[in-house]
This record gives sequence, C-alpha cells and structure tokens, in this order.
Amino acid sequence: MLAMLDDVTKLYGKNCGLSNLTLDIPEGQVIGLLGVNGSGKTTLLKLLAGLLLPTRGQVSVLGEPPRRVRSKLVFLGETDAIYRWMGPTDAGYLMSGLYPDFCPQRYLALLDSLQVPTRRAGAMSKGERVRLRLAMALAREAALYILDEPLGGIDLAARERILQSIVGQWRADASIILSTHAIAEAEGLFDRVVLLKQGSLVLDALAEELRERGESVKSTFLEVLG
Amino acid sequence: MKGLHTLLWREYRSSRGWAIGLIGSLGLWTWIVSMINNEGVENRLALRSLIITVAFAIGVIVLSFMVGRLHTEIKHDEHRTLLLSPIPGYLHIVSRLVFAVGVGLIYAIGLGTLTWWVFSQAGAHLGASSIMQLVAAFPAFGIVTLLMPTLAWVLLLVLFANAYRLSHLTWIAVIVMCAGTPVSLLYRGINGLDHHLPVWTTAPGITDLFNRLAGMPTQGEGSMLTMAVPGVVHYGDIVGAVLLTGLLVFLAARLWEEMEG
Repeated sequence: MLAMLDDVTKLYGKNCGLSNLTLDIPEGQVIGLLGVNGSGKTTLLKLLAGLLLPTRGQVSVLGEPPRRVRSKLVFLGETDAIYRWMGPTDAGYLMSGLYPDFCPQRYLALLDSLQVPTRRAGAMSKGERVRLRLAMALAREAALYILDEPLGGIDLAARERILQSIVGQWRADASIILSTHAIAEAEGLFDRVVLLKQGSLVLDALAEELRERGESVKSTFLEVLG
Repeated sequence: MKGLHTLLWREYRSSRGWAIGLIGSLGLWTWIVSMINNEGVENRLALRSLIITVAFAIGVIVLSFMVGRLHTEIKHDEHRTLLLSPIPGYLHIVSRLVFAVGVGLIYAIGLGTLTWWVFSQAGAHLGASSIMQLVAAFPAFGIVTLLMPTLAWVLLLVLFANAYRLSHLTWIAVIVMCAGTPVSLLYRGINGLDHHLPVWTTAPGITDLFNRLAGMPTQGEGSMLTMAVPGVVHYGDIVGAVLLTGLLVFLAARLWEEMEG
C-alpha cells in the first residue's frame, strides 16, 4: 500500500476538519477527491503531504509518517504562488537544485505540452502560472502526486491540456490524488472516486464500477450530496 | 552544496535589485561627501565622517528590509517550493544571511575606501597598515559585530511572527524589538570600536587627529606613533557576535523546519 489514513480525525479548535476517516491508496491509481467547499478535501491532502498532523489516528506514506518521506511526495497546493521574477528557465534551475528527483527532460516536455509562455511569472496570467506550477510539480519522479485543485480558475481549453499532462505522467508505480470541482472534465481520468461530506467519507468507489452501473461521477456526486 | 548554491542563486535573483541599489548608492554618498566644502579641515572631516556613519546605518537598515522580505514571501505562499524541498532548514536561513552579509561587506568596504579618501583630504597620510584597517578590517569588524546579528535577528523575528500569527499588541513589541536591535547593536559596535580599536600607525595618527578635533590632549603631538598593532579588533566582540548569530540562525532554522509541517 502506497499510503494509508487509519481512523483519522483532524480538529481545528472546535471545528472538525475530518472525522474518523479511513482510506487506502494503492500504487498506480488516479483518485478523484470530490466534495463541496469545506468538506475536508484540502485537510485530507495536507495530512497526506505531512503539512498537517492528525488530531487522532495514523497517516502513513510508504510505511512512514509523511514528513519522513516528503522527498517522495509532490504536493501542489491550491494557493501556492511562485516568485514573480521567475520564468520557466529559472523555475527549472531552482527545481533541479532543490529536488534530486526533478527530471529536466520531462519538465521541458511538460512546458511544451502545457504551452507555458517563456516570460516571467509576474507577467503571466493566472492560468499560465498554474500551468507553470503544474509542470514544475509533474516533472518530479515521485511516488505520490497530491494535487489540490489544479484546475481552479483555468479555462476549458487549458483544462484539457492539463488533464492530458496529468494522464501522461501516470506511472504504474505511482499514484495521483486529485481534488477538483471540474468533475465533468476530469471524470474520465479517475480510476477511483472518493467523496467527502462535512469531513466524513460518504463514497469510495471504482470509477469503472460506476460506469458499469451506467452512472457518471457527476451524477453520483449530485445524488450523494443532494 | 548544490542546494546551498541554488539557494544563493535564488537569493541573488530575488534581491539583486536591492543589492545593486545599495552598492550603487556608494556613488551618491561619494558625491554628497565631496560636496561638503566647509571652512576648516576639522569641520569638514567631522561632517564627512558623520555622513559616512549615517550611510553605514542606512545600509544596515536597507539590508534588514531586504532579508525581511521573507515576510512577503510567506504571506503570498511563494516560499512553498522551498519549504517542501528536502534541503535542511538551516541552509535556507544561511543562504539569505550569506548573501546579505556579502552585499553589506562590499558596501562597507566602499564606505571604508571613502573614509580613507576623507582622511587623506584632511591631511592625514595613512600608512599601508592603516589603509588596510580602514578599507578591509574596519568594515569587516562592523559587518561581523553589527550587521550579522542584526540580520539574523530580523530573520528570526519574521519567521516567529509568521509561525505564530501575532496579535496587533504583540506586533508592537516585535516592531520595538526590530527597531531596537540595530540601534542597540549600533551603539554597542561604536562603543566597542571606541574602546578596542588600537592606536593607528599614522602620521600624525588618527587617534591624535580625533583627540585634536575634540580638544583633548594627544598622545604624540606632531610625532610619529610607532605602537605595534596586533590586530584591528577586540576578538571578544567577534566571538560574541558570531556565537549570537549562530544561536539566532539555529533558532530561525528550527522555526523554518516547524513551518515545514
């Protein structure tokens, strides 16, 4: 098992971020993490990345607490910014110096496929900056890719390119867990769908099973969350 | 080492505008100093020396703001790429400190050279040893005993303020600390220099020159001072400042690692 959350609860003072959640992440899956705003998606992803510690329960990645194996994780947060002076070349240089698993050839291919402009980030649009961040993240050869809302604020055409790039990076020994509100565009990408509501797991199903039952991820989402 | 090299490069790319601006301001200070043409060599020397001291203090403040921009990086979440990397926390702190100290050293050497010119204009013809002290050892002493601990303080305070989300009331205390530290260190540095700088082998001697300006008795009126100078500074100050800087960097690095999750 690549990663595991075992009966995890996360409290923020009196507020509950996640409640008694158990989830296994095997190798080689693309998992869609869905839920309305405030359902606990970002909390779950940050726990997996070791950016938060659980109030109760255990989180492990590759059998270790996430902080100990952070070099084997990629976390792309929703609010992460990049230095405004940094262009794609600078970003590649920075990443190759900081992350031993960064692959420059793959990064160049991603810049090309995501159509990232060569100008500095301060002169890029929001969507272009997101694509640059995604190229930086996906160019690493990690075991687990944790992507929090990579499609947020992105136009339809760019979403397509991003999803194709994410699929293009999928490897049999790595997993991707991706939270998104763009269910209709992304659902073809998912092997598995995990649905959260108010910090609790309400659905954990293989996407293939849903399709066999003639249900789309979007219709299941609307049905479960009412 | 690759990590440190990359972080130094990042610091250079991020702060080069500040660095070039500060080093470029040496031209402005030179112009201001050269424009002072008061009657009387003593007045001219005193005013020019005062301006150079102010320039050094401004340099410390500018460099404090330069390293303090870490606050903006954290606020805008720009530091996330650094935070999640496997590079140890202390290297992130050391790289910022090393770059700022390097810029400060170049700036201080420039001011030291300007000071040498000011003295030569006042008729003090310095020997090679004194010139080296003015241009190299004196600036290095100021950097080690004043700038290094001040910048380490700023880094620690910025990380502390961001890690613990300070209230408005605590911010007042932080600002007082931020402002008070360089002032106290500046006083400490000047005081230390006053007590610990050796007599210079000059004709008529810098100490004599200052004493004469202040109307105090001189040690070797009109004669060459020949006292042997073992070193320009009091080593206790250097050791103390380096230890203080090391402690502050250690604490800042621990806070950085806490922020990593």
